[in-house]
Amino acid sequence: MNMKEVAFMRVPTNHKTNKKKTAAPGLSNDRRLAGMLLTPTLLILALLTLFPIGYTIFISFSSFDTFGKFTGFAGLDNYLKTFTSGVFWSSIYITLLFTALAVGSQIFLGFNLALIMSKDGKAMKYLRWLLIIPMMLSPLVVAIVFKLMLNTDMGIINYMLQGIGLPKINFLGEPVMAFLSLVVVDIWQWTPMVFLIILAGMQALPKDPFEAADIDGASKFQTIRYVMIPMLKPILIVALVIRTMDALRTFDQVFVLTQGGPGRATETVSFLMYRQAMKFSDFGFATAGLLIVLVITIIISSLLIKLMNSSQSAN
Amino acid sequence: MAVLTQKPGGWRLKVLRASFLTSTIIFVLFPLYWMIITSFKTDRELFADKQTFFPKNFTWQHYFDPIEGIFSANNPFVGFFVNSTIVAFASTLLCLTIGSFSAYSLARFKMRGKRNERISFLILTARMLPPIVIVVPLYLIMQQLGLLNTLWAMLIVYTGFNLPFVVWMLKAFFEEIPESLEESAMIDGSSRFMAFIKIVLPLAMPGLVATSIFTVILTWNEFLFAMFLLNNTDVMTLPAGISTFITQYKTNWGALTAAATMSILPVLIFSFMVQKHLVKGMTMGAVKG
Repeated sequence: MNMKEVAFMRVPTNHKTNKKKTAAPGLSNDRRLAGMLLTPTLLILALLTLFPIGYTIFISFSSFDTFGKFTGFAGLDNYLKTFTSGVFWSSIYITLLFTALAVGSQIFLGFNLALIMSKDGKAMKYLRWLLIIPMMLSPLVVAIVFKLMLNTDMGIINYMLQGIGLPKINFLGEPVMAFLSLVVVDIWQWTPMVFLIILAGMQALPKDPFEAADIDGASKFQTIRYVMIPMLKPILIVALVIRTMDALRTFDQVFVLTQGGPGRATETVSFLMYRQAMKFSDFGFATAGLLIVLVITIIISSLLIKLMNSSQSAN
Repeated sequence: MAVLTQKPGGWRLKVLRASFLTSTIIFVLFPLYWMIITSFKTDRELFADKQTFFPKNFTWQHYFDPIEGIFSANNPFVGFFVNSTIVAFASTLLCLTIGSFSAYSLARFKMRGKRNERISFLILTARMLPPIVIVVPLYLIMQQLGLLNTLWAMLIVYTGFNLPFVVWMLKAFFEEIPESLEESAMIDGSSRFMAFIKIVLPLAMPGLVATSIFTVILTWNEFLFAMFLLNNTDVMTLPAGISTFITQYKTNWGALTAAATMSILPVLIFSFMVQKHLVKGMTMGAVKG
């Protein structure tokens, strides 16, 4: 949108005058109305995203004292500090590993669940609603419930482990277990969403190829592998894109369940930056790190979206 | 669809399928069940060596006890609930008003070149930003505007952050309404804008309702922004408020699970109402649901 159009939009009575002039509005009127209807959204988004990002860039080149007060420009110091910080790269590694494990499992489980649940019927409808409850809940509440269940002393999971003669496990106190617990919580909450997306995709598939495969005597497994999955590819990628973008920013569960610990075993990028900014007032480090994260997110997202577009045009 | 179920599978496959489904249902529902029954147990039973799968002495004390119940006068829970309700409904109303205009514009008007698609994509990128990238500068900005610890800050932030979602959802709903209906209204002398208000909006009502419910749920569940921007229990929303229950010295699991149960109740009711539109909602209309 150019500046001229923006200037026009500030006149609130525009559409009324248009109304009198023409019974069937021409193209130019439409264009003006189109811009007018779009402006508020674009303005708000610019204010709430572009402006803060600009501010972040400014902070990332500044230095602060221990109370978080601006003390001057720092050049590339903050970036150097972040780039050479082992903590930063380990949090990136943890976030990527977490995303790969969680999203991979969700796609696998969601696909199989959709295969089973793709029958029609009223009972299925209510069962479906039951299965998708987790994704409607606040991640914070979900994390609290799992924190209760994973508790070493009074948690029900350890109680059941003992019941079958196994030793107690300190789920949130051991590095590997704490990390896996976070992955399981993510799987619990978000597999339903993947399931639902894939199910919608399956229900929209044409029937002919399956009948043809049936006549050709293909086995069930072959039909799934060579007929269904290729046709579902665009949907699978949509699920992958949406989940990956969300998993990369995981924060709530870490905040409740582990606070990044034990040590730094579960410190995702989001949590590290929270800690640097809010606990240590290290805004320079945090903002420089955030901008690096932003660039990484944009690269991953655009790669995935390219994949999505190419698979959609191929179909 | 029944494409894969036409063939009679072997009994082995049927058993495998049934057990996978059963264990999934248990895996999904058990944490919810556990949360709810924990809120009805007495403290003694909660911390007992022998765990019970159903409360032995069923109690409402974590809800209605005049001293420690979450509904008692000195407990901030009711305040959290009220704050969440105000913020969720106000930002949804604002979002839907602004968002429906923009969605209509993107769904109907063909702009020069590929500008439509480009603007839609631009709006989507705002959604892709990790909130943590935005929240630190927003904190500093709100501090300078004097809006820290106010619901105004939350209203502004949530309106902005739900807008991309609302625009994409409504765009998908508007695109399903045939354009000929507005054209006939315009031939009868109404303006494009009035045709939108009088013809398109009523027809898109199911979509508007579904979108608002999603927006309410998204706002209701949001934690990161609320935690950063609200430090005072008087203004906290539910997730931020409930999180203060655990960071205290000793966790009161009875009250905590009671608060958690109460906070998910509206979401359960709402999600049941929108289940038909869930796929569209979760994919922002990218996949037809």
